Amino acid sequence: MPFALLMLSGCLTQSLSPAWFIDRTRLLAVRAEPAEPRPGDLVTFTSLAVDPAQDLLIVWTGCVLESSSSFGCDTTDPDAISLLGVEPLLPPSLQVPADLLDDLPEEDRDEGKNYFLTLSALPGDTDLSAIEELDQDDLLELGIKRLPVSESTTANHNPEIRQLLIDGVIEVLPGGVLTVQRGQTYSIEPILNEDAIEAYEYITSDGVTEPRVEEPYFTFYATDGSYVVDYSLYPYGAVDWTAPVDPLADTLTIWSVVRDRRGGMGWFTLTVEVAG
Amino acid sequence: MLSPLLLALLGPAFAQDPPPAPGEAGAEQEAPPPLVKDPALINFVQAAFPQEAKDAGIEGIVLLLLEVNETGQVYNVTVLESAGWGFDEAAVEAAKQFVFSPAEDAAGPVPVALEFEYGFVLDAAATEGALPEEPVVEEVVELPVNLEGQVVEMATRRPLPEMSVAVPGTDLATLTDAEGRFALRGVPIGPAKVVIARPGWQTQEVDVVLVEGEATNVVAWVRNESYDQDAAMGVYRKDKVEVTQRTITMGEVRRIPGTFGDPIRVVQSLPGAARSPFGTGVLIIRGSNPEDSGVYVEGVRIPFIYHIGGYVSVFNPDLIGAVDYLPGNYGAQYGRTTGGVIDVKIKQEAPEQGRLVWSTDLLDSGGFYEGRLGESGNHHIGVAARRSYIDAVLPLVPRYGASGFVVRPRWADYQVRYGYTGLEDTRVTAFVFGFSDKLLVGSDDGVAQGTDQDTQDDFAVNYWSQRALVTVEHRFSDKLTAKITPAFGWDYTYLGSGQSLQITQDQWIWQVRGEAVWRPHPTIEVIPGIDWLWGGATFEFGLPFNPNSLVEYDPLAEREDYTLSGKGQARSPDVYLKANWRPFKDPERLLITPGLRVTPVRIVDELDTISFDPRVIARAKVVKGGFVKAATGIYSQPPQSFEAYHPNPDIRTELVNERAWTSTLGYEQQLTQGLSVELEVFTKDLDNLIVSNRELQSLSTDQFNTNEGVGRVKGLEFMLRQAAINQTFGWVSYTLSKSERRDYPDSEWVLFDFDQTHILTVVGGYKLPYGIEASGRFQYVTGNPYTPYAGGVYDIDQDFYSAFSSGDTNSERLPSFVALDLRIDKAWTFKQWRMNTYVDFLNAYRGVNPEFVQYNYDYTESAYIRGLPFIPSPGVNIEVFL
Repeated sequence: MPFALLMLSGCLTQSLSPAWFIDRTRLLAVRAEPAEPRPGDLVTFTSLAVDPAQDLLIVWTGCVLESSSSFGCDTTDPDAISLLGVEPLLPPSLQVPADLLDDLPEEDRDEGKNYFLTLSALPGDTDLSAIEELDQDDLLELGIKRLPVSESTTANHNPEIRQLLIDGVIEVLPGGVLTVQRGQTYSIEPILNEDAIEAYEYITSDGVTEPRVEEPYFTFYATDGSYVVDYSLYPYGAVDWTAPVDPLADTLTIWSVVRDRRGGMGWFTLTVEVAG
Repeated sequence: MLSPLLLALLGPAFAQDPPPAPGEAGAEQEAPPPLVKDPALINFVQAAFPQEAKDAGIEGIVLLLLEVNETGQVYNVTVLESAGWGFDEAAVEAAKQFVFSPAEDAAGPVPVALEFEYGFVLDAAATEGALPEEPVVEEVVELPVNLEGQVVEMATRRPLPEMSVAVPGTDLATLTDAEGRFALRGVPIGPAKVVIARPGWQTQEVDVVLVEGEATNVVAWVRNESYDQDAAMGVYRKDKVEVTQRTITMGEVRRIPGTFGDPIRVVQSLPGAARSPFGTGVLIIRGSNPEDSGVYVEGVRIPFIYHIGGYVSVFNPDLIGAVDYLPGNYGAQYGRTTGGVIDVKIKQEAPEQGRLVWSTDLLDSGGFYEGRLGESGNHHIGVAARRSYIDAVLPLVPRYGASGFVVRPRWADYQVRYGYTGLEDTRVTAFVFGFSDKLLVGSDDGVAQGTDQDTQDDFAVNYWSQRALVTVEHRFSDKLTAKITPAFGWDYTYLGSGQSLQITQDQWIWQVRGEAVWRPHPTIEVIPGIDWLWGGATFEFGLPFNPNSLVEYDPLAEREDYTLSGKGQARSPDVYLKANWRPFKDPERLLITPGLRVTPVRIVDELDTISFDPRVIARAKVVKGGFVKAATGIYSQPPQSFEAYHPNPDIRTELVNERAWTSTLGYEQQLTQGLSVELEVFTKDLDNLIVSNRELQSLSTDQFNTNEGVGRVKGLEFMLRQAAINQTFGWVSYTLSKSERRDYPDSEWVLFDFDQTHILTVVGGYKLPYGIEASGRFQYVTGNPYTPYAGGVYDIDQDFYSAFSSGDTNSERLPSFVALDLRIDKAWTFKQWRMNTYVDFLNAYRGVNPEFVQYNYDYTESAYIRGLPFIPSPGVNIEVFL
């Protein structure tokens, strides 16, 4: 059928929840510090895990993989999996094994390998003493993350969102509150720290050293209101968000997450009060 | 003088049931099937009187059985009653040179068999005892002709023979002659009414005034109201040596809603063809993948049959003479496919009267001209061109504009056909055609396309294809004819997005098809043939990442642009041999067609493989108008070039041809004139199917694909059909089937992606008064299978969810598809032109008809993507006769 007809016909029998709408448990981002450790470094982690209805426990586990996988650590080998922490009770951290890269040739250690992290979101009142008895149905959300470990001289750092720029003029700093008019559309643009866009060296498969610059991108989330497009690309980071028209809506939260494509992440949480 | 006389005499013509020899079993059951037009002898050849008989003063009559093909040529002569004295040989020799006007049944020209008495009479002056002289007819005084005229068809302006012309209130009536002329004597002087009538034409009444001593001349214009006007252009006509025969006329095709008048799209309303998503025209025949079915033009393979989006085929329908739709168990002349075959036959000749056609609908416009050049009329020309403007229409659709993306499809095509008929035993046809398609998908200015810099430019698909072919057919003798078709093709494909993703391919193809038909005995035809194909391609493949990195997948690894370019050559010099054996005098009583096709395939530096495909087809008449059909055979399909390619020149691809063993058993019965029914069951076992190599560890050293896949298909097809006769046509088509695949020996059988258990299609049309026609199509189809998901794991690095399957592959089905399409046509016929306007009402039933399952971002919610909504699609077609 012609594309005109496809465009007319391609609608859904019912609407589906958009990715930006936070109405359930979500793991939005993970931050490792440092973002790209060397063997033997101590790494601390924080997550941006949200749920509009309940408190959460985030169980962190990790493993060393011979090669990366889409679905994380091999659960059939419990000895290979390490418990790294439980947010917010036990801040997760990792002492990167000093011999992690020993099996790599010297020339490959600049590129390094990944340590694998698994995040399991559980209800905040979960009895951790019985964690062994939990099954799939108890999981609210499961996420995976790779931690690049290398001996690179241009190791990655996490990008930081310094502030949000609203409609190009209003600067909102971390912890700030934005007041919006009901049903009004606003431009939201994350502003990065000046050193967020890193230059680094990449050795191509032909052995050529190539200078590169990061190309970060942003994703946006909210507990109310609406986006037409919920992502953007640096340096054109602005998206449009429309405040809810519901007269009962009063306070909501907006998040923006930045990823530098090398494993580094940052985020900004904005509290919004709806007026009018 | 000696004069072999034509005593007469054509016996009844039989479209399907020529009479058996006297005494042959079943003779008393035989009766001629209905023909709408009998054959007429237009070239009688006088036989030489045998000298021995002449010297002896012997006369005789030889009873012959003449077998006449669709073009009116006598291809076989059998002596049914001998006269001895050399009369038989002389009569046979002369009769072989007879030429008839083709016989026609409701579907168009058909081969017939007819009895013919050839009489040899000595001139009475030369010999005594000749046959009795004809009685002397007493002369009568006739009244003078005072009413004469001609009956002409509106729009085409062609004279109409055999029209009834009558003067009510008198016993005066006559039929028009071959020129459409008539003459009546003795019509009463004064006002009179003349009535012109014939089934299929609108009855016309003409008022005249007869004057004493004068002859009144009348030209009467009548309007054709029958679907038969298009009967000469039958589609889906298949040679009866194939196991299945289905014929749909263009008159029906043009009025089937949802097909947009495209004869190739009508295939999808016939048994064996599955419904394609959104009516895109994807060919899914008898449970085969779309790429497993071959599309040909005069036997020459073409890469695409539809323009982008599947809306229209790449040919102007007015150029199409027939479409052979062979869902399976076709003869050895087709190969390199394990699915079905569609072979588009181009009209060989143009009408004497030039014709200009212009068609316009919401999406494209096109023109077509056909006619003859030169005084001899032997140069037949057909030219067509078409261009879409949907890229300009789409942005006007309100919801389209709000989607955030802009889709701009565009297509164009052209065809030029030339035929020469000035040679006695040779026919030459040349056909050049090409098409171009372009699709741009992008976002509005200032809107990012995804989160990757590499995908920020428009996504573009651009391909075009050119083909040139020449067909020369030559009749060497009564026993030997041959046909050869050399063809050249050039295809270009581009697919790209942004700066880094670029795929371009230039491909050239030479193909030569040749076939000879040798009749060493009246019951046997031996048909050797070649189907040689060789070609080459250059390609450039650019990716924003190195595919080697995919083996050890790491989304955080640095990407680097990857470019691969090269060239390749392939050849497949197939040969085949088949035979048609008709052991009985009644050629339709039993036909057995064994065949063998050899398919050697060489992809330079990659693979060499060869297949031997034996096939046999049998068709037997068991009762009047009833045939049992059976066939079995092997069908092989070479790996596609991208499946066989390996970038490492030291690695040869260890692939062989995919293979299908298919069998069909069926029965068809002509119930009444135009009403027929057929039932077939079929099975297809597939092996050597090419699947990805699950042991792949290195792109540099490992094979990409293996031949581990297998499949199985079984089904039943039913069709009850009323051919287009006068005011109505229609059919009921039903397919029951199951198609499964297994990729690896230790994996489970799963349903084929387009497995549709029940496919029911009901099509019908009726001609109403005032040039109005109404037609409809109802479809009920089981929903396609799909793999269900229930949640996913969030990849935080990449911001997407990897889905968890909640069931086996293709373990769930979409709801059934139920749709009713309607169409209304209104024709205006004028003396020199006619215009047809129509509106297709797609999905008048307004069914939801889910086409796919859409999940939300984390696979915890799902909804169906609806099929076509209710859409009225108007169009107009103008036909001018020059």
